[in-house]
Amino acid sequence: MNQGKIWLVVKPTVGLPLFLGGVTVIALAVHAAVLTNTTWYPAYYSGKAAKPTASVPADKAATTSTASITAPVAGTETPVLLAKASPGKQ
Amino acid sequence: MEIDPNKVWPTGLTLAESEELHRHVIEGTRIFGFIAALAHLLAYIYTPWLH
Repeated sequence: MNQGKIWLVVKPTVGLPLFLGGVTVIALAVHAAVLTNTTWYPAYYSGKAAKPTASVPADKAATTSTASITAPVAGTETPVLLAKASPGKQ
Repeated sequence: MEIDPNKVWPTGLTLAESEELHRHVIEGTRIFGFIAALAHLLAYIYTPWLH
């Protein structure tokens, strides 16, 4: 190896952590820069939660949001006839 | 200048030990680089990165 003699003058216990740490710091810095300067990268990490954020125009929202489901209030239920029995006939 | 192969340098290594360690460093760097290149290729294909 061309530069194999480096470990004769640089202690491996110092040089290797410095080398690996430098690679890690640079990689994290570059990815953090991409993460903070783009929209698609944070959206990717947000998964599907970030996708359905399309806004509905106000005029369309007014017409489309009128449908509603109301739950029955206690005491006002209408009786439901499930079966009609006629005595005397089999 | 010839280096005495039996000399123990201040780092505690001989010439052969130093070159053996460096081979491992280079090999690790190659493997890391290959995986990183593959990861960047996939990122380029499947994300809007650099498009």
